[in-house]
Amino acid sequence: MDTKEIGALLKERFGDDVLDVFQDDRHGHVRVTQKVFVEASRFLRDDPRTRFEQLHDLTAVDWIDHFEVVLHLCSLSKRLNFCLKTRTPSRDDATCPSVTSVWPGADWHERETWDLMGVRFIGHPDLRRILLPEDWEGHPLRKDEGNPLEYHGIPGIAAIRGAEERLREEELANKTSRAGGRPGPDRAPARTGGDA
Amino acid sequence: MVPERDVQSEELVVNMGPQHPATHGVLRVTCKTDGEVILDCEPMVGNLHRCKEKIAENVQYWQFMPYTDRLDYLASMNNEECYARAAEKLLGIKLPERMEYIRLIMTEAGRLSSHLMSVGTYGLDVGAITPFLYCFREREEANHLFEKISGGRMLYHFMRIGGCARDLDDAWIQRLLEFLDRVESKMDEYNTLLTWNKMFQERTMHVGVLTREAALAHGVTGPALRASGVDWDVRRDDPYGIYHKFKWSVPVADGKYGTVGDCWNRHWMRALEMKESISLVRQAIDKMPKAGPDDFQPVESPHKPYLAKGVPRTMRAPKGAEVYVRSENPRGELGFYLVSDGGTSPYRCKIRAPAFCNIAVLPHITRGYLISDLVAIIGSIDIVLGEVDR
Amino acid sequence: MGYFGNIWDGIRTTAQGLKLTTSVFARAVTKGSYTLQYPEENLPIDPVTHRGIHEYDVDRCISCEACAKACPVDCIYIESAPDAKGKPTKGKVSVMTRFDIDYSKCLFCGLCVPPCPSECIQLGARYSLPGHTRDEMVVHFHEGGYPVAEKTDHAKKMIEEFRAEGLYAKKRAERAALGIPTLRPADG
Repeated sequence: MDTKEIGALLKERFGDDVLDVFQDDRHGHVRVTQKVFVEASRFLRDDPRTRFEQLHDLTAVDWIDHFEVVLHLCSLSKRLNFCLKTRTPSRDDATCPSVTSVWPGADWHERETWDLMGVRFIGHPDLRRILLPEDWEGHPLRKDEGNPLEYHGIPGIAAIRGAEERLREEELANKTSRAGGRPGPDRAPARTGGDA
Repeated sequence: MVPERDVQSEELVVNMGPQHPATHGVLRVTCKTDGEVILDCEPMVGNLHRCKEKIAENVQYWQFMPYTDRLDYLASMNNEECYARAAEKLLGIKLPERMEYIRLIMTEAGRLSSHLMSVGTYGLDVGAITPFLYCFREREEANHLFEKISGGRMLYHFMRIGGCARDLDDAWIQRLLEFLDRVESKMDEYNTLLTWNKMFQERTMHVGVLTREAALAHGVTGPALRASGVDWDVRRDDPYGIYHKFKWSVPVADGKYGTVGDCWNRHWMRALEMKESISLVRQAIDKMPKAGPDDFQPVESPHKPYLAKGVPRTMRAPKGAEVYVRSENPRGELGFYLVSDGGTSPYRCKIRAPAFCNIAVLPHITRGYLISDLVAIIGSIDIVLGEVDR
Repeated sequence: MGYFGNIWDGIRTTAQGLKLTTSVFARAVTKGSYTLQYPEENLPIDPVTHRGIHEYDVDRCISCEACAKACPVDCIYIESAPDAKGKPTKGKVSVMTRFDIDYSKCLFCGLCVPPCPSECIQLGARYSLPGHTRDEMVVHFHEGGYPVAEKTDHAKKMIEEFRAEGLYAKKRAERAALGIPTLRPADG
């Protein structure tokens, strides 16, 4: 059973709430409205024709004006793979119903998506940051997220790059040589493995 | 001895890690304990977060390859293979048959090397130092082999999109076969020292039981899933590459020893999988075809990669194309979800890390066990924090 | 299995393990151990495939920046001396005033090697570069890199050409005029 047939099953059950059935030689997906997202997930898990008992992956993609939540499902008994998508209402209202009630394994995936992408999952029992520190500001995988300048006194890459450029300009202005560094690789300490 | 449960003491929160030798890296586990019994625990991950997915969006497809090494740094070859396959599917690159064989040989040898490490360190986790050293003796030879062919001991950067770093020569293959013979002959040693040791069994049997239903619901994959009695292996059931051409058996826990889904069975699955990997590498070496005249680009220098004909220099995927590719890694199913916007770098790259999903199940299988069992359970899930945190 | 059966099993399996470790110990005593006394002893390294510290021929570099563009971590910094018009020199005549590799960033992935048109950069067999500060991790290759060990026909031809045109001596003199010493001449 391929994506088209599963899409037909979903269409039969949810009608117009199935927005898009797509398949090419690379990938296939079915996009549903948020309204039936959890219902469709439960249907896919419980229906004897599909039986997607395993949530393989849950993530989101930033499409500038909205976020797309992408689920990759796997049916071990029926040997099927499937991709279910839904969109958040808008970029500012980045919310999506949680599927933790269907697959408990979605817990950490949703926390990660919230952490890195900033999609808020409604109904998630414990939506906290998971990979980043609790006091981190912003969601780094969003396309408009810049590099932070500083975090607890640690300069960010943007600050370092700026400093490097300033140093470079100063050097050029003063014609001074760069401080530090090695004159050549053969200045490495004598008793070392690779230089023998 | 299990402590008397009717004696209630004050609840205490114990922090384990992040700098703890038994947490396999920088994992922190906060346990709520009653005496020595774990009431609840929570793994705190993210200490090793290196923004892999963000980096992928900022480098070209082929430039992301060395970063994939650093995901699961004990099985770099398998990560590379999965990413290479994802990118090839996205970019529409077809591989010659010989390259598929090279990939299979390298990934299975990588799995063997990774399992040697897992089996050895699991002994170390529960207090047996000798098997660890014995496994490292063999893994050292694997490191030499990989260094010989790829130039790196751990972070190989062997696979390239549409090819690999260099062709396998006969002398190397001969050395690989000798290595396989040696590991196979030593396999009984590990089992005598560890698997069939009564004390090891007492520490691990009936501990940390992950039921079949919980394993499926939480998305556990790999040896941990098969130890829970689910007969599922992507290599066999959703074959990729050329796995459909080979015959091998997928070890599944049957409850003959211990409880299905306990720590011992997870360890046992890995020990059995090593044998299957050896058999797969041998079969692949037997059948490996010679390179056809139009299969590969000419290689001028040993520093140039061995690429298939037709691999473009500038890699550009069609706009809006997306792929989801998964492979059976030593720790479970690794997945790469790549989305393209028509540029030379991925628009979105999501890495579905097996260890990330497997460690999420830790709170469910530690409740009611002792703190000392926690170490055994974490070790049996066999996580690599480079992959959990990405 | 009863209480004593358990104990017996423990003793039996432990004895089996001890028998094994003793035999391995005996082998180590009679035939030598598996370990090496680093740093007095070193593992053999394949000079061709090993990806260690770069080998670089500063005189042959044409300052095309292909390696810097290929680098996934941007750890190669390249500058060449300006020509009469004030533009950085490119091609055969280019004089390198900066070729720094920051080894605190370098992944040793080897992606800088294949794009090089003059084959003047490679990853070599050296691997040890300890230092106390981050600055010490930056190596100034323009002051003398190691000559590349593995030379293809193309590279050999290029070296001949450079020699015939006297570019090696010329470039060295030009760098010396800019105040850059050549600590280790490459294929001069």
